Amino acid sequence: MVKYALYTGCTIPYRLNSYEASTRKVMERLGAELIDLEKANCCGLYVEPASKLAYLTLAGRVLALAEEQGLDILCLCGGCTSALAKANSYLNEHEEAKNEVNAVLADFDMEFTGKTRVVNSVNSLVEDIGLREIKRHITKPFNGLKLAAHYGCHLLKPSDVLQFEDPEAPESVDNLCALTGATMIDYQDKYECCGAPTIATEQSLSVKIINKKLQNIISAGANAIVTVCPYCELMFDLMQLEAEDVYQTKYRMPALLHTQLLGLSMGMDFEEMGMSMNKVNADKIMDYLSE
Amino acid sequence: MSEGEYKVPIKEPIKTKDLDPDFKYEIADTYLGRHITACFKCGACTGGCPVGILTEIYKPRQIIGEALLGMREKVLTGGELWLCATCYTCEDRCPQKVNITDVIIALRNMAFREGHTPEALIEQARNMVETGWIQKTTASMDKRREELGLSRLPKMAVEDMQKIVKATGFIKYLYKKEDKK
Repeated sequence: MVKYALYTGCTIPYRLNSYEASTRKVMERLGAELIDLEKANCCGLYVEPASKLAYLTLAGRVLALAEEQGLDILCLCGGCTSALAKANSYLNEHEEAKNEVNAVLADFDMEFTGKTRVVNSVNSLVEDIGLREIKRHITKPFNGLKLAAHYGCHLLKPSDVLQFEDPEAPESVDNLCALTGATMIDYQDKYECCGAPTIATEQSLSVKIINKKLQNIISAGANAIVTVCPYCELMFDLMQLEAEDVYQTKYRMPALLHTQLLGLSMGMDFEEMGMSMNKVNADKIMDYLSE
Repeated sequence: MSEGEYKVPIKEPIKTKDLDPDFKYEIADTYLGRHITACFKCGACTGGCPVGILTEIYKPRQIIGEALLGMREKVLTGGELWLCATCYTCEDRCPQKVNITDVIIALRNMAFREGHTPEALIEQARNMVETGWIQKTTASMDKRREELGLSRLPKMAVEDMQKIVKATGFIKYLYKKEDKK
């Protein structure tokens, strides 16, 4: 049985409750135990552009919390995954930086030792739990659903740090989602960024990026989109409405998280998976579920 | 959004007297920027850039080129730096292992210290340190969590975060602009 320290980050607990709820329920069904990290802090990603030491210390504190539990840390967000994984490997390789970080952490009686492993949700499902085990739990497979997977960036890159799979030809999310009976489709620029990171500095650019992705997905004939990161999900769901507004068009393409998709195909309830909290109405997904 | 918003700016000739020949070494002295001088300007970064394809002003090769040339002022204050989506595609594809995304972050660190960061980013960081969350939270958020069978919004370690920004010296950049007012 797998057991993790669950790190939900700075956004999911209030902006994407559906991701947290569906993760908890799906993981429980799969027999994975999740221990909440009490009194956590930001992963440091948001201060990385400003101060490297502040970033490393914030990340180091989160990693140290998981170390105290003696557990690997499960991240649901791509940003947290890469920020923590990068800090973990950097601090392990740089004694001086590690000492600097630990000097600050000593104030809270904490220490970064580098003993935890940073695991992303997809990483955990595909590698730790395994596709064969997940398949056993799919009781209500989808039928005829054409699904476009969006991998996002920080599940895979920087690949030398994350060492998950080839970022130029990844298969994990497609293989995982195909278990639900959905037909996974390819589309142009499938592995490209969703545009979320430029939202604060240049929203029009983000909207331009997501609009292009949506057009590529629609021309490939998808019925819905599956994402694996809270920021990608907010871009494909919430910001889809903004793109519709800016470009005077209607896409209404349901975008759901991989855990929502898995939960539905495991027979879990639409409401329970937080599907009605999606901004783009996702009711039509249910038409593809087998009875 | 109007078309042509990202038009190529009219380029003035570059004058040697405006260049800072040591800028590249300043970057190479940082861990993130340490490989910058290995760039041979092949353009693999710009070719795969999801932002570069949609705008005329953000091209990773151009930023690296300008940095190598010593265009300190333009690179740090021009604003292009903040359009990078940090997707790491350029970094992964670079044949010279320049770690381009990391170089951009190193440049952002420099720009930040010199006070050229977009206010929106400082505000996010400030929110984070003061509340533990990236955006403002409200009581209705607990209600939505309850609907999904989740516990109340967890408490973040705000006190510890404030100690961290003080101890790492980050705090002086965070409130610099406000102090000036």
